[in-house]
Formats: sequence, structure tokens, C-alpha cells
Amino acid sequence: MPLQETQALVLRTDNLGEADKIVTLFSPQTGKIKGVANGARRPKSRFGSSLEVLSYIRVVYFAQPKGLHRLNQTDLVDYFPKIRVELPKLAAALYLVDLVNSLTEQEDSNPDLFNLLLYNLKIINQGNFEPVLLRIFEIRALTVLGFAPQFEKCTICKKRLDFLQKNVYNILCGGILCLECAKDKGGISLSCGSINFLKQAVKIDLDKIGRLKLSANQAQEVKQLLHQHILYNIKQEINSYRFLEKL
Amino acid sequence: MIYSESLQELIKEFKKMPGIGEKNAQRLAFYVLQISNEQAQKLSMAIINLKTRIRYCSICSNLTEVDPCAICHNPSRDHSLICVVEDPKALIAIEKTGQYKGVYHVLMGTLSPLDNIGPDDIRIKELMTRVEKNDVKEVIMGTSPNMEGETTSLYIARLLSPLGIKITRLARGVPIGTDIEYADEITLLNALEGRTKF
Ligand SMILES: [Zn+2]
Ligand SMILES: [Zn+2]
Repeated sequence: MPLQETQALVLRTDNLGEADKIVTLFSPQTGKIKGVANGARRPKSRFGSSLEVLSYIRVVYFAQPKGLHRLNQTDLVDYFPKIRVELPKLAAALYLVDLVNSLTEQEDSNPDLFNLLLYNLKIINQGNFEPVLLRIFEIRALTVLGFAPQFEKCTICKKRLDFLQKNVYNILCGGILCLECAKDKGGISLSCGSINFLKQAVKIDLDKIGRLKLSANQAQEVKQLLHQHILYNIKQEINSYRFLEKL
Repeated sequence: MIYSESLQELIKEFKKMPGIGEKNAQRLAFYVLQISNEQAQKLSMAIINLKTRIRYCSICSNLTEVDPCAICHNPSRDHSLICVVEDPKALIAIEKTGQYKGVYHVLMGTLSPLDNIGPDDIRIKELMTRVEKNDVKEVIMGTSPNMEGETTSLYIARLLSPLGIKITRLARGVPIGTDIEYADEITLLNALEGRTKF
């Protein structure tokens, strides 16, 4: 039963029995892991308030072969307090952790995705929250996981896409189609501006993502495209997305 | 089969109760086996009475045998002050202080975006109707200091704020009877922010 130590973000918690919690963590070294925190719901628990969703922690745990580890000790690194006092920020941050939880398998390490999530939580905590941040997060998360839609070629005929005219995203094909192929298939129409935004959002340095902007029309197109594409890949609704949409 | 059918049946029912495992269920079943018939009648009647008499108050959703409940019905309580709580257990906890003179609103749950529990799944609409129709001056958020509780109180505060009602929430501080040095940093931070004048 080897003792492991790592940094991690708390993706979700589930109650177990009378006083325990099952905690889903996301660590740069081990990816998504699940662990039991004994007594975590008692007022004087040694875990304190570190095992709340959205907390950034250091954790020591006993690794178990079956994948449900035993948490031994935790220290809080950041609680992102400003996220927790504004509803739009809280709803957005919950969507990010929910998305990471939905898109990842257990024990599949992805340091890039960890850094992306941590960076975005810091940004939301510090500044004003803009929905464009969610779109950048979505496309970058899809990219580091290898799920991103292809923007270079038509998914059906493989012809290079013409970025001077509109193209179409079709969910059944799981990708972007040229106008010819989209004729009888339909889908979400994408302006050149939207496609350029998505290509930029993947390439640009993380600390410059604040510079990317979307018009109202593009924001709608990009949001729809990414949402459809995420659903196409994970084959289920994301609960926190519905909440976010209702605000 | 080790036990007779009726004994097995009772063990099975006890095991459904919170915190009761196989061992405890057996102990309870054997206890019932040795009590008098009269006692057994009392026990089963108590369960049936509970289920038939207790309902939810049509105003605040508190558990009650009469509708409206004793708190909503009481003219000496301050009906312009509503404390919003998650469930009847939280109401009882606050009521035990004996110091609160307002009334309650029981939400019967909390918002949980990660589990798809949204505003329509708990009694938020009922709270809004109540506040709009009555002369309410202050709403106290009495939800738990965790992610679900915070989401719920932020959501309700956002709905209430255009109505110009005073919205407050319970202070978060250091638990009585503990040492400051063992309190975690978030609790201490909240306690510092919510400090009061001596
Ligand atoms: Zn084509
Ligand atoms: Zn009542």
C-alpha cells in the first residue's frame, strides 16, 4: 500500500455512509483519481474545508490497487474564495470541473489539462468572468484530449476548407463539412470569424487568452458547435451546463 | 435459510434504515422478537401514525400534524422575518436555540449543478410567491456552508435582490469549544471577515 503525494483539484464529492466522502480529484501526475476520506463530514475532521468542490489541494493518500484510494492528509493550497461569492463565476467554475470529470477516464495523466483547468480557475477567481473564457477552455480541453474537431479539411470529402465562406458543423459526422457536402446534411453554420476564433483559441499562449473576443453572433455559433461536439464525444448531457444555461 | 421467513423479513426492513448494517439489523429484530405483544403494537402504531398524520406545512414545508404548522400559525412570531433552511432537520436545529422569533421556509433540498438538481426541484418558487404576497422585511440564508448550500443561497439572493428586501446569511465562525490553532484557514478567514464589535 504505497503512500503517494500529489497536488490536485477537487472535481466532485459524494457522500458515503454517515460521515465519509468519496472525493474525485484531478492531479497533473495521475490524472483523475477517486479516494475515500474517512470522517470528512464531521465538524472536526482533519480534512477541514479542503475537500470542497473547486479546492486546490496537496494530498497524501494510500494507493489501492482497485482504484478507490484512501486519503490520509490534505492541505489547502487555494480555495478560490471570490468564485464562491458570485453566482455566474461559481456556475462557470462548476461547469469546468464537471467537463473535465466527464471528458476524462480514471488514472489517465494529462498535465496540460490540469494546467488549463487550474489557470482558468485562477482567472475566474481574480477577474471579471466573461463567457468567452468557457469557449476557449472547451476547445483547448478537447484539443489536449485529442477530441477536437478538424478545421482544415471537410470531414466527408477531405477537401481543404475554404475560410472565405461559411462552413457547416454536422453532429452526425462529428466534424466540419464544406458547403457542398453540407447541402443535404445540414447542421450548424459557421462563419469564417468563428472558425478563426477556434483556431486562434487553440494556438494562443494561455496568458494571452484575455485578448480573444467574439461577436454576439459568433459567440452563439461557437457555443453551439462546441456543445454539440462535446455531446458527440461523451454521449451524455453535462449537468452543470444546464444550470449555467438557466442563469 | 438460517432464520424463519418473518424474522428475515424484519431484518431486511431494518437494513434499509440509515446507518444499520446486517449485524445491527439482526440485533434489532431479535429485540422485537422478545418484546411483549402490547409493545410490538405500540411500535407498529407509532410508525403508522407518523406516516398518516405527519404532512408538510402548506406555507413553510415544515413537518407538521396540523396545517399550517405551529410556527406559521403562531401570531407572536415575526412573520416578516423568514429563515431559509435546507430541510426540517436544519429547522429543528435553529429552533432548539430558542432565540429565533421569525418564521422559516424549508427548501426540501439544495441546488446541485453537478447532480442536475435545479431551481425547479426544490421549493424556491414557493419562497418567491410567499415573499411577493406578504410583507417580508428580511430573509436569512440558513443553508450549509458547502458548495451546494452556497450555490443555493447565491441563487435565491439573486432572485430576491430586485425586491429590495434585506438579505442576510448566518455568520461562519470558529466552533465553540475548539482551539483556534486547530481551526482550518477558511473557517478562520470567514470568522475574521465576519468579526463583530465587542
Ligand atoms: Zn466536403
Ligand atoms: Zn409552517
